[in-house]
Amino acid sequence: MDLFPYTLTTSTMLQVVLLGLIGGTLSGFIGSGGAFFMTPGMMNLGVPGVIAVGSNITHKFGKALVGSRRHGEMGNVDKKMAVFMLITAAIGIRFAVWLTSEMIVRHTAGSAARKEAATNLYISAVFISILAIVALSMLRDIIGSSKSDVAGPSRRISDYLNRLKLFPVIHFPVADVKVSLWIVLAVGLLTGYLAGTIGVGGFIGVPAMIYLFGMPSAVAAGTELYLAVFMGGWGALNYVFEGKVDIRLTMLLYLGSLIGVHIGAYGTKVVKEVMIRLVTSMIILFCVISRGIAVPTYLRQLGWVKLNPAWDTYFNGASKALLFVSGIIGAGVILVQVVRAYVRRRRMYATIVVEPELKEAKNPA
Amino acid sequence: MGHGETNAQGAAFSREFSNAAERLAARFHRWSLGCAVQLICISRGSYTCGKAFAESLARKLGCACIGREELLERATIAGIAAGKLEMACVNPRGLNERMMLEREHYQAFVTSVLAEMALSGPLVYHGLTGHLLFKGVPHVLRLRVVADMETRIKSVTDRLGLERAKAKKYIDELEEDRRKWVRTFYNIDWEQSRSYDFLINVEHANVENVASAFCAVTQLPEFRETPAARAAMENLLLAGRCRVALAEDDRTYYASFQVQADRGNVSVSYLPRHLKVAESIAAVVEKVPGVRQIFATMAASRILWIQEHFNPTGETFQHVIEVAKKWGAAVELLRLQPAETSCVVEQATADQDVTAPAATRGTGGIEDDLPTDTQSSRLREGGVEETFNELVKLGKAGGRMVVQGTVNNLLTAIDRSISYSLVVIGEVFLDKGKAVRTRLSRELASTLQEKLRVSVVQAEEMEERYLFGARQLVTMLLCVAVTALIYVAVFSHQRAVLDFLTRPEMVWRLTAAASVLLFIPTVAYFSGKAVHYMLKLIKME
Repeated sequence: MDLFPYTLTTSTMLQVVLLGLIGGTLSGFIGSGGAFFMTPGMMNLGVPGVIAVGSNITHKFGKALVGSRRHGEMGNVDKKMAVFMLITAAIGIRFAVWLTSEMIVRHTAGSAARKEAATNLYISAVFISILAIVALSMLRDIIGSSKSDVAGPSRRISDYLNRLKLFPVIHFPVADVKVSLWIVLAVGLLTGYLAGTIGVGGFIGVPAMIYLFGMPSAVAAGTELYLAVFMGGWGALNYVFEGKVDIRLTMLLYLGSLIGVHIGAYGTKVVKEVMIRLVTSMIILFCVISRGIAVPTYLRQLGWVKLNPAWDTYFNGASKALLFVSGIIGAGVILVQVVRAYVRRRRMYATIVVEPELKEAKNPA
Repeated sequence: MGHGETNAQGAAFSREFSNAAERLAARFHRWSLGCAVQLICISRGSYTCGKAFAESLARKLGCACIGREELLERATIAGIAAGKLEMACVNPRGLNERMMLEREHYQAFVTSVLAEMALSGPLVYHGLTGHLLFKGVPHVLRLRVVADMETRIKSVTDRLGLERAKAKKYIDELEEDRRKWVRTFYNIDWEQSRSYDFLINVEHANVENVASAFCAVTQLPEFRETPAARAAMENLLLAGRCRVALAEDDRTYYASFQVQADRGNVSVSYLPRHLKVAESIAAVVEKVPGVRQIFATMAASRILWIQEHFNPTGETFQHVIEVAKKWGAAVELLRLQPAETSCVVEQATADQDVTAPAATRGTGGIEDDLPTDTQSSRLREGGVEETFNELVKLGKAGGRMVVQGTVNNLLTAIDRSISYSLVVIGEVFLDKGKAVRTRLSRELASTLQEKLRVSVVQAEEMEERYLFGARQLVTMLLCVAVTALIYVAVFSHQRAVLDFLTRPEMVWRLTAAASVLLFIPTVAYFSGKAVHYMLKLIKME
């Protein structure tokens, strides 16, 4: 019960809406859930990590339910793949929920604040390690692609795994790929575990489908969104059952994210693909650094390092400022491009008609 | 004089006689064709004797012959990175922006070279996808030469000295690379038989004999050039030359363009992010000989509007224009005419083989063996001309096309390399009763959605899905009201809500879980709809 503040202040509510707006914009722009920004953002606002993850996964469930229909219409969903992945993803989520809401709390001696710090530290550690890998891989891919004549992700790993032919190998008709069942189940388990732990499943699921399975990017994104409906639903069910979802936060996130996601999606039409990937990787990197800055506070609360408690404010303030500044700059870049394109489109939509013969007649020189 | 010497002289005389007879036959064939110019496109797999067949056919017909390798060489000399393009196409990661431009440049270059050659005399082209370059030109004879694997393996082992297994692997890899090349350029399967008029299997037949037999086929009236077909070819040549000029000019080389030509009228569409090129387009294109008028349209995407009779004052036109303005899209008109005999509309399947479509591209791509006036008038009939002119005035012209026949013909005629953001199906199948018309329209929509993987909408559903009217205003207000009600209810009872969510008893925990699972989608649905309609209201989707 002490995990919930009974009344949210107007300032907190506005900040959560802003988190939703920025997270939604980045989500529409990148095509992921935006949890990589919203989860640490809520933790910076003082929301316990487990509640932030639970509320976020519930938010993801509703949004995916609305968004997956369109991908389905476009034929970008490989339902067979989703079903296979879901089997182990459900186990992964359940394991993650049990770990964050019971296991760590039970094995951490001391006060409720200490238990909360242990959970926050665990969530932050997973967040930092996973998203650092994602951001650095993206940056490496961008640098590599500028020298190459081809676009899109490398197929080296998927080709290697295909050559291994681990029995049974299953054909997935929509993606038109053949993948070993064991690899699909392993990826499902990892995606589920990460979705349950940090609310970021797509960041692993989509690259895994592209790099490991060799799926086309659009089908990978569509399948992940379809999967997110069930994973989000299952995750929400588990977290609510444990009493770790604050639906007020979920609802406030919706207020911002539903507008943001449209702005972000519009942004993809007017911004170059390299720029999209660059902005994404930089924001993720800043989110990782921001979370890293918050870690000493948790270590102090657990008594593992000796720091002046007065410094907590500075660590948390710096972490929060970095996250918001990077998010605002990232979303701002997108927004500026969107507004410029919007204005430009309104100013110039007429066809230019030129008749060379007439032009010559008018200007004989 | 020895016996051996006599035999050698005899053989030489026989060869000489045979060559002279062939030359004479070719001259007679050319004379029999009169002024009609032929274009034969041969698609050949690796080591299928396709090149030998093409050369033999050209020799027997007495016409020019050019292969893919020669075109690649010419493209390289012209400054196109053809080798890099080949390497990039076979890479599963796809092309980057620079290579996409190189692809456009190469395609236009090859089209203009082949069209120029074809306009000056009969031509046999052997390569991979020559037939796809001349979509909408009906007299092109499209052949595909295939051979069984054993023959091909033998050919490789003989020529390259490879072992059987290695030879098979070599052929498989080569075929895969070519398949990727075709998919990158045209987004279709190379092997699909409906792209060809004849499929020639040289497993049991002698290439020379088959070539002799096909000399007769080339004389069929379907493959003889008509004035209208010549005009179509001239349009392709002009469009190709314009695109090449844009690719070679310092002011416009970095932008992507879609170029179409129709009797000297050239339509160029470019992306909004390349706005700077707008003013240079006319300056570059007007230098190309044969250009009479230039339409430069900025378009972020394309909408394909399929209808039987277009009306520029109708409601559907207004709706299409409104969506096009919102999306910054160009509108391409496609008039679907029922077949002149009996229009049997079938559910299309990709594997079904169909005859070549009677497609008439607005780029000038015309037609069949009907009188020229009739053919040209097809693009003007059914309101196409008036609607197109109206689109030009509004800056939304994206081209026009007429397809006669069935849904299969329609599917074959649509260029798969263009990525449409929306397909609008207006009134089609007008010769049917209302109930049948509705059913067929829906079937057409689902077929197009499945095959093209784009959003397909019936004209009457457009307002509901993409526009903002009185009905949408009411729905928006309703959604806003419901959303506001939910938010007020939750935020004015925060304590009660949190108590409900955190009760420790098992029954309450289960009830809370079930309630959230029902409640959250409801909130997402109503607030999502409200936002969606609000953005529609400000025309920002």
